[in-house]
Amino acid sequence: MKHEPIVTKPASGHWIEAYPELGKGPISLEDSVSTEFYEKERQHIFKKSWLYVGRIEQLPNKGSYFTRELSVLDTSALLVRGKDDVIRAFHNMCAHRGNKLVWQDDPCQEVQGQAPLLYCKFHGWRYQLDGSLIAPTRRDLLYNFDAGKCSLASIHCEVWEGFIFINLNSNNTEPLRAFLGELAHGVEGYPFSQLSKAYAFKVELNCNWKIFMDGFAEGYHTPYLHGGALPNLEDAGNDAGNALADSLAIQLKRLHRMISWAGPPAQKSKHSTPTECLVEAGATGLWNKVDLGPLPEGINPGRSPHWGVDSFQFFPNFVLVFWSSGCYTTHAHWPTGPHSHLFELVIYFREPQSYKERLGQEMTVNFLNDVILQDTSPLEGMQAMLNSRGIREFHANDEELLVRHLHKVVADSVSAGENNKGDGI
Amino acid sequence: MSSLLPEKFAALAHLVPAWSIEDGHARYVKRVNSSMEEIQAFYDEIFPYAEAAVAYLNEFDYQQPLPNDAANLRNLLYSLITVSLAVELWKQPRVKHSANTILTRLS
Repeated sequence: MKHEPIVTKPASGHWIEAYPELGKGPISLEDSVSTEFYEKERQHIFKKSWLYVGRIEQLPNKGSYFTRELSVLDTSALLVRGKDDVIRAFHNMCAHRGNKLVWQDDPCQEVQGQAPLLYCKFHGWRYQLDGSLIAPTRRDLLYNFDAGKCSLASIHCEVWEGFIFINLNSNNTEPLRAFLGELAHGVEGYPFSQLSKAYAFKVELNCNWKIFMDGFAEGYHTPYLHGGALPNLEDAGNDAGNALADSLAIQLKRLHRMISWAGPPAQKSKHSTPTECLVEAGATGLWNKVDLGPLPEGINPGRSPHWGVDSFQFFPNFVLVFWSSGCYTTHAHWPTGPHSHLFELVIYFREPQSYKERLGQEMTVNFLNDVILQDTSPLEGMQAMLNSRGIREFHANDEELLVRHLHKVVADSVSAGENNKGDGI
Repeated sequence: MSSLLPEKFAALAHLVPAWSIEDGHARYVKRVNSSMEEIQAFYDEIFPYAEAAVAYLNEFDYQQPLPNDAANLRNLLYSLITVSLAVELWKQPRVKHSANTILTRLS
């Protein structure tokens, strides 16, 4: 890692000075309330962007597959590792009459598994793992049959650092890595595959996807909402040595954004609970820090000795969080309606080397679970009030720059999509 | 019949039926569906043994499956961790101000 900071705060003391195009005025809340706007988001953002759907470790072998029920896209996506080890995505439907292809018991539930070929349980059509039709049944009944026109409907699929993305826009020409841009390039080489012990959670919440993402985009709320759970915040300190949770660095790059914070550190403090002391782990990880070797340049861009955590928000709904204790987390925020979304969280550690390490991971996982539950109800309450339109704009301060940026790039993307409608896109 | 717990933890055997829960989601559901009195009673009983239990488990090779009695002990420690936040932080089974929301733990 280069030792010089790659980000420094503007001399004025406000991050906004580096991003004057964002403006300093209030921001409309309509994007999180309006049903019409939500439909535009689906059309111009979710159906046209690269979207994170899973890790390659979920497809370990040739023939491994999983499905994703993505109501925001009006589809179920089927992800499959082929005999050639290529990971492909398809609309999860048979090319014959559109029956849902891979499911068990309940067609609306996600499944995963392993199969030598793909089989439609309705009329018995069989497909290779690359989506090509092996054979229809009762070929004698078909008219002018052309097997080449009966492959599974494919979806663009690319992998970046082991993260599998799909893009429903069949006209898309921008490769995934170029789309993710500079912020993603800066974290390439992080040992993602080495941290294979995954703890996964999901919950559907009654708030707009952006409202919940905003909650993870600023540390301004942390000492207030989470002060009780994270009393050792006061031990975090930061380079300015002042406010508890001020960021160490902020970067906005095109559609994407990141924020870096001091902590709280994963170490024993006067606030540590008896059970944290027992297993030597807390909310932010194991106290015996796992050495991952030199970190990629994009992590801790302020090069702070007090660095604790970086959160990278990739447009539109994927968040990667790096913890200085040696673990990382992913968040995916899937809209299920204008005022609801599915939040998916996975916490990744290295495979434990001992039972004590496993218990420490369990402590962190349970703690993060509870900290997130401190956010859920307030943000559902916020949504309920936004729907009243009692206020129509919100104020974002300098520590809430990522919030300002998310709402701006969403608005800009929707406007651009509306303006291009005539172009047949 | 093998014992529910390793010999030096035999005094905790009566906790096994209710609190030896390996599955993370089932364990969280048990926490939020228990009264604070039940949670506190479990916590108070296991905590004095916890340090010895961690040391006992740590002697096993993590790559190998645990014998049943040691697996039960591990599951009791998992439950201790899950309820510890209720006892040590929230003073109630659920996270304060979280209504009836819980996350679904998948792994």
